Amino acid sequence: MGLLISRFLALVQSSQPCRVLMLGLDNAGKTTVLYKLKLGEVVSTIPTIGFNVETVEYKNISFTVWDVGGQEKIRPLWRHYYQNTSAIIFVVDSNDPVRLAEAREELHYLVNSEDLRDCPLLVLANKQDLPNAVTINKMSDELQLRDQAKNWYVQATNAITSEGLYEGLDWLAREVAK
Amino acid sequence: MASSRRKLDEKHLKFLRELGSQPANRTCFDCHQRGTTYINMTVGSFVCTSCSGILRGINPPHRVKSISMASFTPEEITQIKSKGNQYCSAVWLGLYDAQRFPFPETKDEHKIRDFMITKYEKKRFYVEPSIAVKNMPPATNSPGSSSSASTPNSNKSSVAPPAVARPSVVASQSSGSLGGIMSSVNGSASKSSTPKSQSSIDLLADLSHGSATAPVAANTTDPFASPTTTAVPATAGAASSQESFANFENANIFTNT
Repeated sequence: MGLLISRFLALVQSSQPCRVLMLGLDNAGKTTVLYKLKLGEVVSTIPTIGFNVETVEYKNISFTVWDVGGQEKIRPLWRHYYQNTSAIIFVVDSNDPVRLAEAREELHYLVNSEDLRDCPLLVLANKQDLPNAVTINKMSDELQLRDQAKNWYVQATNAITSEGLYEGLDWLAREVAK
Repeated sequence: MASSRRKLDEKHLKFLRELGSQPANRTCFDCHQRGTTYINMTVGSFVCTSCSGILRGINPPHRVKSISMASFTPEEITQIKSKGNQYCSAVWLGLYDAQRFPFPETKDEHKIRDFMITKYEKKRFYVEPSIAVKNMPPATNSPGSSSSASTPNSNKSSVAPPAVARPSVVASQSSGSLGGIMSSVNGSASKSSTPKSQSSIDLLADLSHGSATAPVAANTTDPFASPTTTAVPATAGAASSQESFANFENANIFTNT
């Protein structure tokens, strides 16, 4: 009887799976965000070639986060990860205003692709602690998000201290649960 | 449009690989490991993958680009061409004293990071580029170039010996205006390095035309070149270092027999 109850509880409490694709330009901080969420600590990273994938349990949702390398010539590979994705996290280096236009181009390409049509978009304006960081307001303007039909949210983050990371996941969890 | 861009990318990639195979650029500027895959765009050095990761995290962060997975603008290529590891060690390790600051063990990441902080953030060994360039040995940057090409440079270095140069470096550092230093860097660096890079370009062009002719030509100009260098269709940069290597090998054989 006890076994039956515990099995029943496990079934009820088992977390909902959610496949998340985390993209962004090189050096945005994607890998740092991933391992900060997974391990709660700052790991020293090297530029990602290929991808890293981890599952993160949060708010009874099991996020499987795919962190794919963002260097220019490997960006065409992103589309191979689109299928069955339920949400996108797009990480931007707020301290690199020069490359915001490049980030916008990549982001718009993503947003307009058919496979990702129904995915909510979480933009992490990362590295907010650095001196030249643009505000999230400016970021939304620069990325031209306001005229997007998609469900989007810009969250200011500092992956080193994990400021803003869970606020971003909160929004994502709500959107996925809808 | 797209195809012309791809062609330019290929040209740049080929050029960067050739530049990266020069003796000074073949080992990582920050950990001395062999095999450089990234370029530190902030200072213009060739580094390995793991150091490129560390460089992204120092303060202020350095911008790194993969040689094979990024594309470069012609301006960036000119910048890299005028710099490289030898230039960087004249500037960023200009006052480096191996006795007082032993170089960290290659594999210890924390020590390499600490050394980078000393080198780039505290600028402990920094020499203003306008002075550092004069201290650079002129011949090695444009390997295999004819003696007439390197003569003006060697004259320059005899005018400003390092001992005279150093006090003025300290003075300019204490004045502390970073922007001022940087702007003077760019002007003087590009001016003084133009003839050198020009000659190395011609050389690379020669090599790409026919790799078989290049070693022979090197031999005719250099009567001391050992016969083994002709067997290796190496770049001119490698040829100068392999000469001594080959001789060393020969000498070994002689002592054995």
